[in-house]
Amino acid sequence: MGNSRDQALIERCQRGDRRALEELLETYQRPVYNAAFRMLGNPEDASDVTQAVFLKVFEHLDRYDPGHKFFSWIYRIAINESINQFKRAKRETKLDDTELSGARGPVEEAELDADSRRVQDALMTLQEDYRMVVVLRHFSEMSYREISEVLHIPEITVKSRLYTARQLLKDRLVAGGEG
Amino acid sequence: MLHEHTKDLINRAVDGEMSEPEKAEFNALLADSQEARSYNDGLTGVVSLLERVPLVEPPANLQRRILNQIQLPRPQRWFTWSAAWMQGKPVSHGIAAAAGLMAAVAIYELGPVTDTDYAALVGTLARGEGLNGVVQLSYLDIDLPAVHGRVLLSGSDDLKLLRFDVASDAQVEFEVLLGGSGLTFGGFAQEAEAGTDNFSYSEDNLSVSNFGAQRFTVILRDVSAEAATSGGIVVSVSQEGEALYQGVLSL
Repeated sequence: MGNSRDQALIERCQRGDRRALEELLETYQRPVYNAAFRMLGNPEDASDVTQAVFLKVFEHLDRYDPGHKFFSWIYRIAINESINQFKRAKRETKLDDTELSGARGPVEEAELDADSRRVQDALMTLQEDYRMVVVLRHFSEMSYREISEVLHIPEITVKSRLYTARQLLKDRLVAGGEG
Repeated sequence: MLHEHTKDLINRAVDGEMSEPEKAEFNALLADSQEARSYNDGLTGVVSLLERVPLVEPPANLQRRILNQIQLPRPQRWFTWSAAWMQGKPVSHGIAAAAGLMAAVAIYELGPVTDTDYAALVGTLARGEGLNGVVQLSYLDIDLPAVHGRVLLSGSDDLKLLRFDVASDAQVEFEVLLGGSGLTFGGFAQEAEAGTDNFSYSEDNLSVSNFGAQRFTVILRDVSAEAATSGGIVVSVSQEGEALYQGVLSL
């Protein structure tokens, strides 16, 4: 994720270059979607969040600080949007008594392979703080330092949350028949 | 009960975030402690399961949905006859002579936005005396089902004019790549009755997207002879992301 390349693309976007916008989308759409999907466990919510992330990014492009990495900024927005979406879905569940975000329909269920399903089910049992570090480390392949930049927390907190989260995941996978 | 330092070491080993001296400590730890080995095995099992999980593909239409909703700032356009950037060259006459324009044209200088009164700066050009030393350099004839016409390169020592006289019955995108030619974009002129409303540019790349009759001229300036490496200007045409044509104009 080259920040100088991102920076050049952003500058072109700010001059109205739609080709640069397409390049940024091609670079970040899939990772943002995957992060959102693992945070929410639901493809429709992940699509909505991905769309909201990019709209927000380009609406506030003038607020982007070139001193920071673009990918940190976009992931931070993605994580925040995912948490907001999760909370909205939770509230709606309480009001409507319908499915919680993360519940899958038959189509989504068939699309996920066995490993993916087990992991996703275990992930959804974690608290958001734990889930987000696992998602960023293992699905977005970020280092401790990068996670710390995205979440604005010290590296030591990243490590502490990640270690605990993986222990919890292990316990739940074992309880669910996989370890 | 494992010490926190031991857990930290094992976790960092699994994450590949360990220094060389720490690796030796980690290996010694595994050799000595059954509890450490058991913790390491459990953690490795979870992490390898996470790594086996494939990435999911976003819906095929998601990118298009997002693109359709994002409004970028309009490309910067500075409508001016100012000769400052051309260092006194008779720009309007040069364009008219080289491109043979008799109709009203608008000149968009590619530069910073100013408080210029745009409306007052679009006028009618009469054919001028011509620009001394302007000669035809090369051209590309495009003859495809989707688009046809000619792209003509002419110019003098320090000024080049790239004239598009093309037509298409559907939206097509023209791209001009200057990389290695030693040229930079200086301006964009179009005939008023053949409006090209959608263009964007960067230092060495210009994109124009439109359909129907399109007659416009791209004004190019020499940056330096030393910067030239390829000696050519690449013109490409695409439709909905699919490449239709590519040609090189020699200088």
